Amino acid sequence: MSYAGPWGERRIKGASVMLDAARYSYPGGVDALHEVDVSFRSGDFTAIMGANGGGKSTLLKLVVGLLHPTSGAVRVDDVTVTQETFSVIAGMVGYLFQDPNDQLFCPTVAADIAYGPENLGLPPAEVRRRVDWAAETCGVDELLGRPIHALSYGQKKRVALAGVLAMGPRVLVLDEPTASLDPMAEAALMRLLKSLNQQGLSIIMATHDVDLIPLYAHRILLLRKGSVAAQGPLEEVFAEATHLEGCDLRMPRIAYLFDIFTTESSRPLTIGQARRELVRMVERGQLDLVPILLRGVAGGSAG
Amino acid sequence: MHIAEGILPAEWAVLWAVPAAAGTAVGLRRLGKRARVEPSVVSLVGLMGAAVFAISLMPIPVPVAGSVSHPAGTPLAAIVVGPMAGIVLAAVSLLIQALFFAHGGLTTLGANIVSEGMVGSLVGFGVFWLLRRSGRSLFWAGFAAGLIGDLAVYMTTAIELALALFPRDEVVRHSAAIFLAFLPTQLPLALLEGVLTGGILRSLAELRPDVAGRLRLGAGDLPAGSNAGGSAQDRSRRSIYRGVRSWWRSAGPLTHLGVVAGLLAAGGLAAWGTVWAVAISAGSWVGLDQGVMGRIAVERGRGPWTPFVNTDVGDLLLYVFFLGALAAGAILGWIVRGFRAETAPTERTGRGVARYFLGGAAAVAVIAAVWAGAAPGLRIGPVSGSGIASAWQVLAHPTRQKVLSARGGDVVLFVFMVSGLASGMIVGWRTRARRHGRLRVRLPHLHLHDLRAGDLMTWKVTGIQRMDARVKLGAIVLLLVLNLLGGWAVSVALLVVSLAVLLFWQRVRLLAIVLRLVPALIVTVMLILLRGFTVDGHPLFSLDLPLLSPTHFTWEGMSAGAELGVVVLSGVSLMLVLGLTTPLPALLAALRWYRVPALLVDVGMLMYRYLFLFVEEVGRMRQAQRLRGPDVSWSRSLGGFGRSGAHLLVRSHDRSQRVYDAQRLRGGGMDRLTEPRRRTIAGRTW
Repeated sequence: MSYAGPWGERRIKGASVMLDAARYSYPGGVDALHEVDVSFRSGDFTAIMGANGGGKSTLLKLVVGLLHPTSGAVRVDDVTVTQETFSVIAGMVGYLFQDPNDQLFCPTVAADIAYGPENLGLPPAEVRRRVDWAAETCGVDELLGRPIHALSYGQKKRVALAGVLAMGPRVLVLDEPTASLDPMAEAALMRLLKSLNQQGLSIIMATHDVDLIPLYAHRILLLRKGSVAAQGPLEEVFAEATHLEGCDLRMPRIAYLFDIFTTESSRPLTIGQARRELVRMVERGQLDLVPILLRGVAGGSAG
Repeated sequence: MHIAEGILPAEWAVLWAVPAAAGTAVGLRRLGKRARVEPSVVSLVGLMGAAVFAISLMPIPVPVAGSVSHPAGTPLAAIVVGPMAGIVLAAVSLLIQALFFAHGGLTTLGANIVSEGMVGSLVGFGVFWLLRRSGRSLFWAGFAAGLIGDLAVYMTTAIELALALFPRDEVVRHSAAIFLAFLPTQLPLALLEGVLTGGILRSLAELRPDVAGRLRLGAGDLPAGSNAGGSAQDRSRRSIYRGVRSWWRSAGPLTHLGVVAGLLAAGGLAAWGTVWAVAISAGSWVGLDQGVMGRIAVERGRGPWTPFVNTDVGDLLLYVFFLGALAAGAILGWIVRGFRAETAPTERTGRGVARYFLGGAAAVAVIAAVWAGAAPGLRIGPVSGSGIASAWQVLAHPTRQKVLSARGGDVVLFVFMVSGLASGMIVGWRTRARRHGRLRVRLPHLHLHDLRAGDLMTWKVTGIQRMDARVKLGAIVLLLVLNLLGGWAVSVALLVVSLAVLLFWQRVRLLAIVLRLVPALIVTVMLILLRGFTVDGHPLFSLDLPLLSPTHFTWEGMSAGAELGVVVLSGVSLMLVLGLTTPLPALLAALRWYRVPALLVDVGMLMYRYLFLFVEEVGRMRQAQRLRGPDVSWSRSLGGFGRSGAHLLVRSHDRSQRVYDAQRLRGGGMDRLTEPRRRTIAGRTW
C-alpha cells in the first residue's frame, strides 16, 4: 500500500502516560482508585490486569480524560488531562470501548471511520485515504458501504478499532479488546496490535486473558481493589505467584511451561531464554508441545 | 399534532416560525451554557429527543383537523432535561421527522414547534413543578403534567389550525370544534401519557436514585436514604391504590367495561362542557381584534369553511355517539371473541351463554341510553322532543322519516359511530383474546423499516442522490414555498413531478411511497368528502340514505377540498423526494452549512443514533421478558409500562452516555464548539 498511515512514513512517535498519585472516587462515594502512581513509557505494550471491579476501567478512563482524578494528576506526554485539554488529549489518545455498540454511531462503516478524521479538520482527500487505510489495516475494507447495524459483533469491533486508528493516535487504550471474540479474530487483533506497537505506538490494554498477555505484552500492571499490586516487566510480575493473590487471576498457562522447564530440565531458564529455546525446539521438530500444554492446563485448573 | 405540510398558508407558516425560532434559540443558548459545565447533558437531550421522536411517530390521522394524533412526549422530556432544553429537543425531533419521514412539514415546522415544543414543554414542566412544590408525589405530579401538557399541545394545534383556516370572528368556535375532533382519539392517549409520565418518573426514582438525582427530579427534597415512594404519605396513597386495584381485579368484565366507558364519558363530557362554555362565552371577545391575519386568510382564498362540527345545532352529539359506539363495540367484540374461546371450556357452559345474552342486552342498552340521553333539547333534523321518543321513531320507522340532517356535517356522525364501533370491537376482541392467552402483547414496530430504508436507499445511485445535500435542501425549500403560493395548478405539477422522480428515476418501491403518503391521502380524501357535502353549489350527485335527509355532493365543495388536498399531497411528496434520496447525516450537515447552530445538529445526530439504541434495548427487554413469562395479561403489562419505560430510560441513559463519550473522544460533541474546525460533509457513500 502506498499510503503509510496517519502517522506518515516515519516511525510512530508513541506518547508516555503518567499517573501521579491519582485518586478517583465515584459520586456515590465508591473509591475506585487509591492514590495510584503509574507510568506507561512511550512505545510500551502494557497490560492492565485485575479482578472485576479492581479499577481497570476507571484507570483507563482517567487516561483518556473521560473521568478526572479526585486528587493527583494524569499526564499524557506533557499535557495534563483536564476538562480544558479534552480535545488535545482526544487527539493523542485513542480509546477502544469494550462494547463496540457504544462506539459506533454513524449510519455506515465508512462514515463512522471518517468521523474522527473529519473532526480533526483534515481535507477530504486525506480523510478518504485514512478511511481506506484504516479499513484495510483492520480488515473491514469489504464492509465500507454497509450499515453498522448489519455487522456481526467481531466486525463491529474491527470497525471500532479502524475508527480509532484513523485518527492517528499516539497512545492506544483498549478496554478488554478480545472479550467475546472468536479465537481467530482474537489472534488477528493481537497480531495487529503487536505490529502497531513494533512501529512505536504505545498500547495500554485492560484484559482478563492471562494466557494471551505473555505472548504480546512487555509490561504488566496488576490492580487489586483500586491499588497497584505489582507493576513491571512481564517476567518479574508473573515470577511471583503472590502478586496474583487477591486479583482473582491465575498464572498463564505458558508460565506452567516455564515451570516445567525450570524444574525438569538440567539448567534453569529465564522466561526470555525459555521463549527463545521453545521456539527453536519447536521449529526443529524436537519438541511436541501438545502433551506439555495439556499438563499445563491440568495444573492450571488445579491451581 | 403534526400539522401536515401545506395546510398552513405562507403567512402563518412565517408567523409561527418567529416564536419557534426564538424559543429554540433561547433553549440552545441555555443548553450550550449548561453543556460547558456538564458535557453529558447534550447526550441526555439527544436521548429524550429520541424518546419524543419515537413516541410521536405513531400517527393516527384526525381527518377533520388536517393533522395527526399521538402522545406528545414533551412533558416527560421537559421534566427530565428542563423546559428550555425540551424546546430544543422537540424542535430537532420535529425537524428530523419532517426531513426524513415527511411527517409534519418544513413550512409547518414553526407551528408544530410552538405547539409540541413550547407549549408541551412549558405547560408540562410548569404543572409538574407546581405540584411538586405543593407536595404531590412524583407519580401524581407526572400524571397531571402528562395529561394537561398533552391536552394543551392539542388545544394549541387546534387554535393554530383555526387561526390559519378560518376568518377571525369564527376562530374561537372553530378551534373548539377542531379540538373536539381531536378529543375522541386524544383523550385516551392523554390519559395514557399521564400514566406513563407519572409511572416512568416514579419508577425512575425507585430504580436509580442517582440518575433521578442527576436528572434533577427533585431528589433533593426527598428524605436521605429512601427512595421516591418511601414517605408515609405515599404509602397510604399506595394502599388506597392497592384497594382499588384488588377491587378492580375481583370485578367482572362487564363492570370493567362499565367503569371504563363511564370514565371516558365523564372525561369527554367534562372536556366538552369546557369547550362549550368557552365557545359560548367567546361571543364577548370575538371581534375584539379584526387582525390583519384574519383578513389575509380570507384574501388568500382560505375563507370560511362550513364547520364539520356545528356547535350551534347540537352536532357535538358526534362525540357522545362516538363514545356510545365505542362502548357498544367493546361489548360486542368481547362477546364475539367469546364464541371462539376454545381454550376456555368454562365459557361454553350455560352460564357463559347467559352472559353473552346479558352482554348483548347491555350493548343495546348502552346505545339506547346514549341516544336517549343525548337527544333531549337538541335538534336532530325535524324530530324534537324527548330523546326516547326520537329514538323510538328512528327505530320503528327507519325509512319513513329522515331524522338527521346531512347538511352541516351530520354525515360525520356516521363516520364517528362506525369508527367508534370498530375501535370498540377491536379493543373488546383483543382484551378477550389476551385473557385466553391467544394474543401476545406486541409493541408497535415504530416504523423501524422506514428508518432503515432511508439508509439502505443507496442501492441505486442516481443524479439526485449524488446532488449536494445543501443544493437539494435549498431547492426543496424553494419548491415548498412555491407550492404554498403558486395555486393549485403549480401544486399539481409539483406533485406529478415529485412522484415521477420517486417512482421512475429513483425507483423507490410504490409501497414505500404509499405507506408514507397514507396520512396525507386520508387528509385529502376527507377534505374532499367533507367539503363536497358541506359547501353549497352545483350538485354532482345526491345521496339519499336511511336516517339522513337527502344531501348533495357539490362540485364547488369537492374542488375546494381537492385544492387544499393537492397542496398537502405535493408538499408531503416533495419532502419524500428529499428524505428518500438523502441520508440523514448529510441533511444535518447541510443544515450546518446553512448556519443552523452546531449544537442543534449535534443533538440531531445523537437522536438519530439513540433511536436505534432505543429500539435495540426495547427488543432485548421484550425478549428477556417473554422468555421469563410469555403471556402477560394486558392489565399487568399496562401496570408495568411505567416500570418498563423507566428501565428502558435508565438502560438507554447509561448506554447513551458511553456513546456520547465515544463521540467526544473522536473529536465530536460539545468540545468541538470550543475549538471550531472545518468539517467535510459527512455521510457520503463510499
